[in-house]
Formats: sequence, structure tokens, C-alpha cells
Amino acid sequence: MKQAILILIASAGLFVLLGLMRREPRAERGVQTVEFWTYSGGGSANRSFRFWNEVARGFEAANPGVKVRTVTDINQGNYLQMLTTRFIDGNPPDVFIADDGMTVPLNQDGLLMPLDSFIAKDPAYRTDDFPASMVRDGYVGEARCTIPWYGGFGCLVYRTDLFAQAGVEPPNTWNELITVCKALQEKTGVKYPLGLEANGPFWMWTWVWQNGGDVLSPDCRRVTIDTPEFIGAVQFVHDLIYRYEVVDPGFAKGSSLNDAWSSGKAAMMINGGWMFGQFDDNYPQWKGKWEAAPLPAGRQRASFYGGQHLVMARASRRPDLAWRFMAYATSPQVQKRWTDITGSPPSNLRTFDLPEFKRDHPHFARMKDAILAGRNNPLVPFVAELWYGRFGNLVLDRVMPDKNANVAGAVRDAQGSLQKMVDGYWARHEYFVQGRRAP
Amino acid sequence: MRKPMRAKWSEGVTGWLFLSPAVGIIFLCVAVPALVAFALSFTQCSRFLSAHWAGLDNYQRMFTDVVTAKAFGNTLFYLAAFVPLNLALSLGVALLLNREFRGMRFIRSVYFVPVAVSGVVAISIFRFLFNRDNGPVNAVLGTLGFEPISWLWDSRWAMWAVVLITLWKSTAFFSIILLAALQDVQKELYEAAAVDGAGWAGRFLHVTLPSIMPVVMVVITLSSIGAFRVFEPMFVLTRGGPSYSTHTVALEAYNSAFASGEIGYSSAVSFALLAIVLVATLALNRVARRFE
Repeated sequence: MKQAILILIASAGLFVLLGLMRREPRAERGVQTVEFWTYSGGGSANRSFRFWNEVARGFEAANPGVKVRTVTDINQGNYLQMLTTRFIDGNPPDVFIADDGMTVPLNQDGLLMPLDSFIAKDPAYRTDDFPASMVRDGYVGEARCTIPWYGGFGCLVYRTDLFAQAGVEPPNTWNELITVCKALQEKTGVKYPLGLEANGPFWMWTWVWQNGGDVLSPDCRRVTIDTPEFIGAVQFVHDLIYRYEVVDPGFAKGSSLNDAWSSGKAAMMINGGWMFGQFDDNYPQWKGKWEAAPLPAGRQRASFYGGQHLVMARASRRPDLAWRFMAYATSPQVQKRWTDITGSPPSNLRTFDLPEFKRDHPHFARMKDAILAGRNNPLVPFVAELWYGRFGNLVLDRVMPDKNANVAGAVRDAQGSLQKMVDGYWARHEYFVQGRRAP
Repeated sequence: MRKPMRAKWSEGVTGWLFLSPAVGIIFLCVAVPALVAFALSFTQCSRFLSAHWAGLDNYQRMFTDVVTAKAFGNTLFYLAAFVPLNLALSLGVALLLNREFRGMRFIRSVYFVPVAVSGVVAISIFRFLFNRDNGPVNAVLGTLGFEPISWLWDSRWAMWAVVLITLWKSTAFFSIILLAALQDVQKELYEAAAVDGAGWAGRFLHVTLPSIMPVVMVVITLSSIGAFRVFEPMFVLTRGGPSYSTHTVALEAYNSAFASGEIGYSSAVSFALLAIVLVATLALNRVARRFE
């Protein structure tokens, strides 16, 4: 009996000890600490460790008595989960990077600090320096809760040697795209000149927007995939594969775009500006032989543009200091260092005009236009399930691998299911669309 | 001699005191979260745990949502394909391994290796094997004149590819369990059957199978529970696609919670799955008792 009581007391002691150990380490005396989080993995973010350490040291040097604790080693897949844990614990980081998909649940629960008063007090921070579409994404009703950190855009990456051999320039329109592909087929022998992720829903946004269509009505209550513009866009991608035969049908059946580009089987591909920093490392064989151009326009020019925002937790204990760190990180010179180190594009448009930026990053020469033509998918909580889940599975997985697929029929078949999902969502939830004013 | 009441009571209390740390941990880490999750299944709850009462809405939604229905259908399909194949293959391998000759111990050890390989590593290996353009499986089929198959991108094949991968791992595990049962079958029974003129099939049907039936039922029960909960290969390999052809209930629960942030609905799906698994396990246990 005595032995059992001793074991019980020891176990209880262990629990108490574990409870005491969970508290964060004591801050140094006289030092103000701001905690910053970002994630690793994806795009060129693996190099962000080096970049954010440089930013932190630069900020500390400019602000004596301040320490920036940076956490940069969380895997992208676990990031939101780790943040969630810290928020539920009531101890979130002061400042952190949030993908625009992440800002939605955070804003929905009112966990982000409105930034309007900080922006108003800071003359050095100019909202006009940032792409309007990404600024708009940061609004929840009348309050601005994010500032653009880094935006990715779609572009056409092409082999300059093959284009020179065929005597063609990057296409500006969908019609030119087909003409250029045919010329490349004839003069370079490349069987399928254009590489694209044929059944990936992500790139389909861009085709749809270029054709004047959209996925949802402006209030995000009606699914608009049954319009001629929407169906026309999906049909065009299908035609590129099976009618014009300029895209390898294998891309719709699991073949790797990476392999095709690497082996020289594609003369151009639709890709993201976030990959620029990795091209020369991943494909050293094409170093000096590639360039990027804006995506060809359909009825209008459009490209995806979205990515990461800098946000402040509402529970931040040092909001003024946190804001200073955010403003510092988005200044043109610091943004240039972001591109220097990671190869990813800056979001501060003034950075593009810096002479040293133009000198060091010629691939971005035409990309400011692509950014200004950019737009993002609606930031509504169900968009990932609607688009990447249901549309991808019910439409693209069905039609893209099948040469004889009835594209219009498949899209119309899916319309009812998608609309039902959206209706179900609105029946259960209050209105919440980030980046739009609530009606 | 009967122990006095006081000694009995003291013994009981001592037992409970010894058990209490473990019971406490299980209560805190399993029972409390399970109860909280059950309560959440009746709410609309965000990932940051702001919740409001929703009654039976989440359970009703399960019956009307096409994707959830597809997930339940796929899980049943996987169960129907995996459990019999797993049993047949495991039993076949166990019968092959149930022989004694030089090197058999080594062969048995090698055969157990898939169990030791991490699930994600195994799945990555199969991703390479099933690669449409460079995969060895299509290369072999190509030499036989077949067109390359998009194993993981074609809704007709994707679920079968997943079944094959899980069989590779599970057969190794269950065949060892069945091998142990086979080695416990009394030799005298085989001798008696041989004297009665029973051939290989007769000995298998009338001696081997009845003798190992309790273990066969354990294999069926465990593999059924595993099949109901299957998640890892779909999550790593196909993410439930293409066309939701590999979307299972466990994946639906995961996606609802961590992709859509609908903790309440995810909890409801999880508890529906738990209820199905419980009923199936109880039914299988009932059947198993007949063979004891």
C-alpha cells in the first residue's frame, strides 16, 4: 500500500514538473523581443532561413535593445497546425507569414490585428507600392488585417535557343500560342512544345479568367462554371492536348512536367515566378537558355497572383514593435535581398525600379506587368474544397485524360454538385469573404 | 482460508493505486479528447475551436453529401477487395513458409522486412514502381505489348494500385501470425488424416483450416479494422483522387478538419466510422466465438 501511494505521489510530481517546464524561457532584462514565424519548403522557401536571419539581424542593428526570435524551420504542411496550437494556447507569435488561404480561417475567428492605425501612423509605408489585388485580399470588411509579403504569378517560361531556332517570339494571345507551337514543332522537331499541368485545378483559374469567365459570382454564392466563357476555357486546354496536339497527353495522365522540361521535350511551359530562383539549380543544362514572358491573353490578359501576407496576431504583446518589423521587411531594399537570396519576386513594386534590381534580376524585366494583371481566387473558406477538391476530381480528372470527353457535359454535370456544396456552406455559416465588403 | 474483509479491501485499493497513473494518463489523453470530439460533433466548430451548437446537422449532412457518400462507398470497396485478398495471400505465404529446410529461417526473416519498412517509404517506392513513364511495372507491361497504364491517375486503376501496396505490407505481417498458428497444429491430426486417405486438399480443409480458424478470424477482424481506417496510402499517394476514386472515410475526416477547418463535421464523420467499426468488430467477434 505504502509503495503504491509513493508511486502515485511520484507520478503527480512528474505531472507538476512537466507543467512547470512548458513555460517559455525568461526574456533577457531590458530587451524587447518580437517573435516571427515563417515556414520552410515549397517554392524557393528553403532559402528563407538565410533571408529571415539576415532581416532579423538587420532589424536588431537598426533597433538597439530589440531581439527578433525567428522560427523558420516548420514544414509548410504542418505550419497552420502549429500556428493553431499556439493560438489555442493563447501565445501566438507576434508576426508571421500566412498564405492567403491561411488568412481566411484566422480572420474568420478574428485572430489577426487590424493594421489600419499602424499604416496611418507610418508615413514610410505606402500602400500604393504594393499590387492592388493583394492589398484588397488583406481586407476583412472595412479593416485591413494583412500586408502583402510575397506574391507568386503565372508566366510562360521558354527556351530562348529553341525559339531562336524557330524564329518565333513568345506568344501574346491564345491564337499566337497555337501558331508558335506549330512553328516550334516544324522547325525544332519538338513534338509537344507546350508543357502544362493539364489536370491541375490551380492553373485553370488563369485560363478561365483569360477567357472572361469566373468560378463564383462576386458574392460567392453562385457557382458560375456553366457559362460559355468558363466552358470555353476548359475546352481550350483540352483542345491544346487533343485537337492541336501541342501538349503531351501524358501530362493529364501523370507524366511529370519537370521531367519534360528537364529532358528538353518541352520548348516552353506555364510555370510560376516563384520558381525562377531554382531554374538554374534544377536545370543547369538550360542556364542562359531560358527566359520568361507574361502568359498569353485570351479575351483579356490575366494571371494568377497571390501568395503570402505578413500578419500580426491580435494577441501580440508588442504591437508597435511588431509593426516596425513588418514595415522593415517589406521595404524595397529588404525585398531586393529576398529576391537575391531566394530568387522569388518581390511584392513591393518600387523594388522593380531599383537600378540594382534590374541589373541583378533580368528575368523579372517583364514581370511587373504580369503582377499588375494578376488576380487571386476569392478568399472564401470553402474555395479549396470547391476548386481543388470537387472541381478537380469531378471535372478535370474526368475530361483531361480522355481524348473523346464531352467537356461541356462534364462541367454541367458537376455544376449541380458544386452549387449544392456552396448552398450547404452558406446555410451553415455566416457571410465571410475576405477581400470583399460584406453586404 | 478466506482473507478478512479489511485485507481484501486493502488489496483492492493497492491495486487501484498502482493502476491509477496509467489509468489517469489514458483518461486524460484518450477518454477526455474522445469525449470532447464527440461533443464537438454536434457543433459547427472552427479549427481555432470557436464552436456553436448544431444539433444533428453534421450527421444529417453525411447522408446528403456526395463526396462523403463516395468516401463510404470507396471504403467498403477497399474493405471488400483488401480483406479476402489479404487473407488468401497471407495464408498462401504462411503455408509456403511452413516447411523446414536449410535457409528457411532466413527466408522468413526476409519476408518480414516489409513490416519493418515505414509506410511512407514503402508508398514512395511504389510511387516509383507505378510511375507512368519510367516505372518498372509499365516497363514490364510494355515488353508484353501493353500501353502504359496511369496507375495512380486513372480512376479505374488507382484503388487497385493502393490495394496492392497495402497488401505488400500487410501480407508480410499476417502471414507470420498465420505461420505461428500453422506450427501449432498437431502433427498427429495430419497423420490420422493421411491414414484415412485424405489428400492435400482434404488435409487442408478438414485439419488445417479448422485448427487455425480462431487465428483466421483474428486476421479477418484486424484487417477489417485496418481497412475501415485506411488513410496513409491514399494521403501520400493519391490524395483521394483521381475523381475521388481513392477517397476514403478517414481521408474525408482528415480533409474536413485540416483542409476545410470543419472540426465539428470531421468529428461526426470520425464517430460514424467508429460506430461502423464497432458494429463490424462485434459481429466478427460473434462469428469468431463459434470457432473457439
